Amino acid sequence: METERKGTGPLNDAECALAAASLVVLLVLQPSALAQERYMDVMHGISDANYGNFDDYNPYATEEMLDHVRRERFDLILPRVMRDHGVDMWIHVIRPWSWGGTDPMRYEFGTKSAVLVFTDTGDERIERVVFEGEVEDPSVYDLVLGENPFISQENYEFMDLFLEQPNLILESDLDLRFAGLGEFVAERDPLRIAVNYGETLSLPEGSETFTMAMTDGISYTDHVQLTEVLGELYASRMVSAESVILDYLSRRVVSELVLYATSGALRGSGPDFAAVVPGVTTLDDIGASDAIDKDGNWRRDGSHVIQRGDLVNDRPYMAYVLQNGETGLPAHMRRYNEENRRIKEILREHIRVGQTGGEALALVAGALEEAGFIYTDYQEHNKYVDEPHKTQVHLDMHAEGKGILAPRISPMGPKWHWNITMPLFHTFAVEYMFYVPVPEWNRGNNFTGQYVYGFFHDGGVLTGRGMEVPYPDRSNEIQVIQ
Amino acid sequence: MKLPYRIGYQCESTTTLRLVVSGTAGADQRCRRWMSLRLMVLCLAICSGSLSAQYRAPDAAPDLMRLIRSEKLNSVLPHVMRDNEVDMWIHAMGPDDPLGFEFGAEPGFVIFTDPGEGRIERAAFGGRRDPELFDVTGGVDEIAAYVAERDPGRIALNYSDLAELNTITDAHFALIAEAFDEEIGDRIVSADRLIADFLAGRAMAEIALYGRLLMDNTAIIEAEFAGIVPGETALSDLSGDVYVRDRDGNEEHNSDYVIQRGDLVGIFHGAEMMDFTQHNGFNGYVLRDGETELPPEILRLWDQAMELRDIFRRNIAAGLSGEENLDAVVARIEEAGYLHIQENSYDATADSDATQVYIDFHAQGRFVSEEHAPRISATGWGRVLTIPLYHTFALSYAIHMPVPAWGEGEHLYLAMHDGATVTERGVEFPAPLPQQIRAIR
Repeated sequence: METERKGTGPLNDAECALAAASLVVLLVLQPSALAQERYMDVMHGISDANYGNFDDYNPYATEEMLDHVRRERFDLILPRVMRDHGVDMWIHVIRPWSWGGTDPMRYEFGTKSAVLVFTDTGDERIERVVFEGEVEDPSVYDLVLGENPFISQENYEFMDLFLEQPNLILESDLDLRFAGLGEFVAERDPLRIAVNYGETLSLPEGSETFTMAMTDGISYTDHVQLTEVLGELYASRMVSAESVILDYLSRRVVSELVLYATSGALRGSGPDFAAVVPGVTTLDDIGASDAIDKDGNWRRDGSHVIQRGDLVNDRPYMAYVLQNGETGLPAHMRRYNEENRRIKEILREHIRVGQTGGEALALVAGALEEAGFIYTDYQEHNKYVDEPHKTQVHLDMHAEGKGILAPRISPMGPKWHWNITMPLFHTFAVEYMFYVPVPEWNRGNNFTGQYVYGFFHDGGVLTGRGMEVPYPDRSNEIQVIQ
Repeated sequence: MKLPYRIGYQCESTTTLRLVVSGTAGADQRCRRWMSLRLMVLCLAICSGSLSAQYRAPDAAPDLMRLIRSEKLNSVLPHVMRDNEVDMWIHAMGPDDPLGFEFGAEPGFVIFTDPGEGRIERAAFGGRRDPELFDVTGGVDEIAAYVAERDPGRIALNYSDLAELNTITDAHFALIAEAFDEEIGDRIVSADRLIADFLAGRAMAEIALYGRLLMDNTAIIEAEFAGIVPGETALSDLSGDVYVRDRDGNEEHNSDYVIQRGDLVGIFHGAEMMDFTQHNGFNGYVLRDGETELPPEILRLWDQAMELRDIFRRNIAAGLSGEENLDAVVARIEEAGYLHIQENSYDATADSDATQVYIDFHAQGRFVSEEHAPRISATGWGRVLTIPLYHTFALSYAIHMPVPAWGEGEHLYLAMHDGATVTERGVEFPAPLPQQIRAIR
């Protein structure tokens, strides 16, 4: 189909037929010529675009900041990703009828519905074209062809087309989104064209994020249309963009780190342990979840009155109420604090940019074992170990910020989570659990194990210097209640 | 150690006292050099001009401050000690010490020892310090034994020919001299570059703070621009460094000059948390009667500013000195047809077709002064310092664009002040930048 993409160029017969058919339907459903004005939320609220925990309740995640992040990513990350994967052109199609739905790139490209084409022309800058569709910030693109009458049905801009040319008749609007794309691609003559369909990776993200289309975003219909419009030569050059997409999502610019750190700093600060009056204050009074008494009994009722000798929990915050005569933490709690510090040191000493999650896990697990811990793939305490006196450590240091958990320093999740390389400014959860044995608690009659359980979920970032902490950790140590 | 010198003061000028050290027989040259101390009354010349307004962020949270201290010791300290080939760094806290935030301001000593790899050992002797930050604590009388036990090859001490970095007091100096024998004394070198490098190094928590302050500042500047009423608002009514330059380069700066239509107004503003400071700037043009959008010469001026921003961001690299970086960017802008000028004023004798560009990419954040921090500029001691990875600085440049249609020597002036950092990928911007000259209606 030959089509003039820009401005108000003439339509051929087929386009006229398609347009007219759609017109009938659309005019019935939406008679207002001002429909666009009532559907301006192409990107209404960036949280809607699943930017993840970079923008959750973060006053610094302004529209200007998020547009800035997108611009920086286009300038700094896009060229590297395309070249690292040997891709000359990247075509990303977000199907319009789902309003962006589960497409993981809708924030990245600032749209819920578009045909986007990125071309490596050999210059430092990648050419960025919105071939069809509307975007949040057109200024980051070199060309936005979507601002013409052929824009998608979803945005109701057919209304304009048919108001301007009421005699058009279209049989189908499916191929309008790709009209002229064949010529556009041929002009640039790419050797490898990445397209957003999956090929080899399993796609589940894990239990903690909702399912996204990830690399498998293009619909069958769009794929058929795209193949047809590209023609045999260029269609044969299509490859899966799965590695390109995952790499693009996993990399970070400095302004994202600013958002990540400001988001992290806004987290709550835990119970007010200083308000505890032993023998008077209940767990509910300070919002704590449970306590372990001096004999190892687990107290989970919110009405439990905190007693001297209790270890009060609201993980990751913990505090111990000194018993009469005690001046500091008992030995097993001092051990907890010391071992926790040592675990963090080991993490810092071994995790580096350029490792895969799996490589980092192997290094850290080895170092933990060498330092006298038991590394365990299981998140729960393991009662059946040969050396029960040792502290057990489990890691789930997954990516944070973009709704995907990879790269991931963990035995959890699909294999590709572990195989992705950790990039510069990788933002990740410093999430680990550890279990410090406490034989003294054997007397406990309702406590299923004899250990102090620690759980941490703080923030980390990888730089050229190694692992750094971008915002204050929550409580790292068992505090003392006098 | 017996002191092989005598100390006296000599008045050098109204602002400078030189502490004169006279060597005695047997004092070798190296020892004389490290004993040659200067005391200088601070006379800071801030080339970019003092800020008349500074926003102080209200929530300098203690846990964030502690994190920054800790992260600098974890991430920055090992690199600066190894880059400077220092095995031990002894810092005697002086009054108003530039490292008071990092180590705690009370008098006493902090000593860092490089075991050769991994973590730097941190010790504090005398004065109250945060116990979380230090591995070893003790009294001042334990310093000699501590140092001797570690037997460092090269020891940096905070004395310098640069007054701002010469922070050791006479009392502390005498104490060190007393504690060490001559052999150890011979190993001592000035810590001035080490201190400058340490102050210039940024932990990621500081980068995040920097970005946040830039955004706070931008909001303030936006509000100032929104309040301008042409013909009514005076420069002095606005907060920050507010200026207008005419076609001949004459500048009104925070004065009672009333903003007129056709003016190009610049506003710089600062923001700080604790001692971490930054300032950035934006520009606006006041539309003339009948103008509905920016006139062509203003658009051309902005296009040039954007072209320069792009050249700068692609040609600044960590690991090179400020001078080397300046040479690199000057070569690139001259290839692109611009003319680099050493002072921020229009050079009427230069090629009248070429836009003139003034560059002063000074540090932002915590430092002794812009002069004594890494600086990509034609001026300042910091030019010789290496631009560290994650350096926080101002992409501060000014352009003087001739407008031949207005007559010979007539030109437009635009000052840019973008908050920046440098990473492995080149220059990155932690917060949104101006993408246009505002049109003030």
